[in-house]
Amino acid sequence: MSAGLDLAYDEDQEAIRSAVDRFCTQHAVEDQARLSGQAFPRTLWRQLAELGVFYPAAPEHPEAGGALAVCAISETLGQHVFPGPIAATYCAIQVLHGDAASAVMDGHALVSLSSAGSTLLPWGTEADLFLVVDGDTIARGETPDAAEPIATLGGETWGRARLKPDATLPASARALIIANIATAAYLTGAAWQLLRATSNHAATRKQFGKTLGEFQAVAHPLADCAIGLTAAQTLARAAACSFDDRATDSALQQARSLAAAAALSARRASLGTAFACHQVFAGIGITLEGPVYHVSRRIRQVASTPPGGGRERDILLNEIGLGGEAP
Amino acid sequence: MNTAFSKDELAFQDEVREFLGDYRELDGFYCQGHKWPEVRAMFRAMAEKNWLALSWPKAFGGMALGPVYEFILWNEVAYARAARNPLAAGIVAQTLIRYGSSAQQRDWLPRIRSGEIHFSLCYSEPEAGSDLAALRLRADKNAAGTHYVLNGQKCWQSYAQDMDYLWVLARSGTQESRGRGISLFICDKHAAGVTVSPLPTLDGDQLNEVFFDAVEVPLAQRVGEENGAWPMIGEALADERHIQFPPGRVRRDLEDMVAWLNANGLGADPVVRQRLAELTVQVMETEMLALKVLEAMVKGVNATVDAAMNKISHTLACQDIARAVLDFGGPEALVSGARPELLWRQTITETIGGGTSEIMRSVVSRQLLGLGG
Repeated sequence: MSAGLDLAYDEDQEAIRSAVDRFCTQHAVEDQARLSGQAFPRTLWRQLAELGVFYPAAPEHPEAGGALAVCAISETLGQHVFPGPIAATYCAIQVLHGDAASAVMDGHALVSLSSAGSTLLPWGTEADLFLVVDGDTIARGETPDAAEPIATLGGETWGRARLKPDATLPASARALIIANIATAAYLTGAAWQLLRATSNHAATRKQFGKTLGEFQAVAHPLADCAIGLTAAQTLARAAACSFDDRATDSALQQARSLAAAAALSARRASLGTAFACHQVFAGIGITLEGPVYHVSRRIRQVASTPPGGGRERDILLNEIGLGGEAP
Repeated sequence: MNTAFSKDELAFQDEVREFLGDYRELDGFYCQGHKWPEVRAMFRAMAEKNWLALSWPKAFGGMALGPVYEFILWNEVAYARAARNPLAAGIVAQTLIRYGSSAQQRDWLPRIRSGEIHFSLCYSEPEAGSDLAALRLRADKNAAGTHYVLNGQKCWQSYAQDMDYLWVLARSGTQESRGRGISLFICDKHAAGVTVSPLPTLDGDQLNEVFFDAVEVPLAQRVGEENGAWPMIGEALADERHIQFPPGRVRRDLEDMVAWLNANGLGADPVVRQRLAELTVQVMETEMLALKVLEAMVKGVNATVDAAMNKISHTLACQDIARAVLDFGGPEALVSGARPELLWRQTITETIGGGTSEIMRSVVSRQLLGLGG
């Protein structure tokens, strides 16, 4: 028997999750997600950082828990639809050093991570530190003089400005793995919470003399959501596990593939779950005050926030021998 | 958290891969019926290494190794497309070890362990498919009380044409007693009154109908208590969850289809590449869900929900891979005997056999989400 095979979080990781969960509950974080066009909640962000939630990503703090802790924290933040550039922050901590890294970890500097060539900068009007991802590399961008405020689907105000990237930063590849893990974990955390709420609703609301959940047309799509989310969440955890075991190049390569798959899998599964939950909640699910929309738009927002998309597909195509760009 | 196999387990994986090097051309996974003599010979060779008894207790000649070893073995066999795991060494043997009499253990287990005899499961009936507790095939003691007499029909039996014995569920109680009135028997396939009739399947293989016409089965071949089969077959099914639907098969499907698309000049098509990237994610999802089943087995906790998730994910991935290749491959993919069209046909069966997708989704929605359905 393998004494080692274990996909569950250990006591330390569970303790981190509990602490983050308590913090989010005490601060009624989920209510933030219902707001639109508000200033970024800087105080809340700093208070979250004071818990030490960003330290696990720091290479110089291996005692802080590493990628598995990042995964556990991100899942929990997703459950509460916590606002802000969570994956970008973890990513930045991998590539920054010294005062810049400390400012990010302590919640004093807000990170904007955008795609090369794009003028739309996530949290661009509020950010203190700009990073640009181009394929497998990340560069520091000069802080723009001014960014035009842009309202977004997720209710967050982003900014439009042209960034001038500086030199490429070291450890970019590792940073992008962490970003994918955090994104996947956040999305699955958010979607699981929504799925649980929807299942509770389906188990109690009666129509035609039966609970909604007794109709297979309702229950089976939710079962499919659970399957997709379980797979995506396990991919994220396995990627984190391989990342923390990066003693060998092959383990890091495996982490890169698993993280890419996790990000793609989590995007698909969480979006599918959001749509299914809207449908099951029906009339309740299409009101602004209802239990779905503030989560579904956040899932949509995070799923489209850099990094992501084509780069992950290329990593996986390389895995199956179809490396190189398509003509 | 740890997702890696141990050093010893990896060494075993290497040994299995080396062994399978001699069976790369066997190709018995999809249509085992056509390759049974060769598959049987491979099982005998495995038995010489005692691999058919990897998890059996040492008291019964087993190696007392855990589920990880079984998973590695049958996952590699699936990846090599050599065969499906034999039911005798799994479901039958584990049930005999747990519930068989000393005489039954002495008579049957050594022959199973050596790969000498094989079994076909006779569970489903024309009117008892997913609802197995509705089965009607009768088992009644003869007047002298020396035998059970079996009368009725089974349907959709895999490999019954080639197997030596039948592992038969039969109704010994009233029809209304449902699962509480069912007993389990070992029946010689060549016994008088047994007729096996083929049901050709769309993958080119066959299932079977098995007819029982006053078939006499000695009392000594009833396994467990009379009317006591229901919990036994549930437990036996649970013993096998980690080796049913191994992800190696799905990974191999993907690799084969990528090779086929490349060979046909389609690997650079951006639309094909986009779809293959999505399918690669599906394959990796399936690998993770299989690992979750295995983890539950290792920890000794209930794996029912994990197994249902794995079955859905695995079988849909198989279908999606095959259907994508037919979508992209044009007329060339229709050529009979080539892998794409075989996989297209074969994968249709996957979401039916071993528990339909509808049953699996109901397991997940009931046991995980607390819903009906």
